[in-house]
Amino acid sequence: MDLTMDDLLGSEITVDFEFFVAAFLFGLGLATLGSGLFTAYFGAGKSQQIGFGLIVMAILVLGGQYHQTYMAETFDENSFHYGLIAAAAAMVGMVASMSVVLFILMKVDTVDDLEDLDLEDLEDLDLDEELKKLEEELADDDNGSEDTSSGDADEGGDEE
Amino acid sequence: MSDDMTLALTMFTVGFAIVMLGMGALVAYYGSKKTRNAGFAFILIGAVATWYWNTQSVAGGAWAGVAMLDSLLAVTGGFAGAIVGVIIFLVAIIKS
Repeated sequence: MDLTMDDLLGSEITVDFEFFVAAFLFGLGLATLGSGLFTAYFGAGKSQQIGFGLIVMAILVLGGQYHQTYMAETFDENSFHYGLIAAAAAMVGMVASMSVVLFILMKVDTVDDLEDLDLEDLEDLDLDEELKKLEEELADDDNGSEDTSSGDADEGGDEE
Repeated sequence: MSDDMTLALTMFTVGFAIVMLGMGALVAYYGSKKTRNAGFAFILIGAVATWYWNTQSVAGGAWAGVAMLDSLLAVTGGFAGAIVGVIIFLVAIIKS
């Protein structure tokens, strides 16, 4: 499956697309297997059946790749081996980088948020005064409801 | 160091640098105040990682034997396969 870039870009670089195909099939198989297991375990009814279908598909893809690599030898065993190492290592590197970024952002961002707060508004607030206002409103509401209920009772009494 | 370890270290550095540069650019562009400064720091770290990879690999260092183009193809293939797998899963779930 060797192709030269001469055909594509006019350069002399040789590219082995077997790395791409091997890693593509393995990635497809793993993603399908993971999502299938997840859906089959947590799903119910139709979703669960879809999960089992995805697992079957993953087994077919991974089994087909195993057959083509180690039995039929359509794919080179070394290409699969090195492709797998390259993809896994790059993924680990990306995860490590993302972890570093998130860790630093979490440490830095909290201070940033505190600086963004408008503290003058908070200083102007008199919490005791606000509480008194709320209590007065609640008391007014209670008095209003008691008056109406007693009025209703009186009216009922007159009728009797 | 074995060939496998050399390949793994090379691709680890490449993946680390790519994400650090990408995230640094995003954070530096959209962030404000201290967050933006952190973004510039990420870009700096990514640039250092890229420089280290360059000296070890392209400039003929200890990682010069690694076939970078083939390795990057493998990484691209792995991600493309995973994305296609997730798309198949989503289509199946949404259609049901």
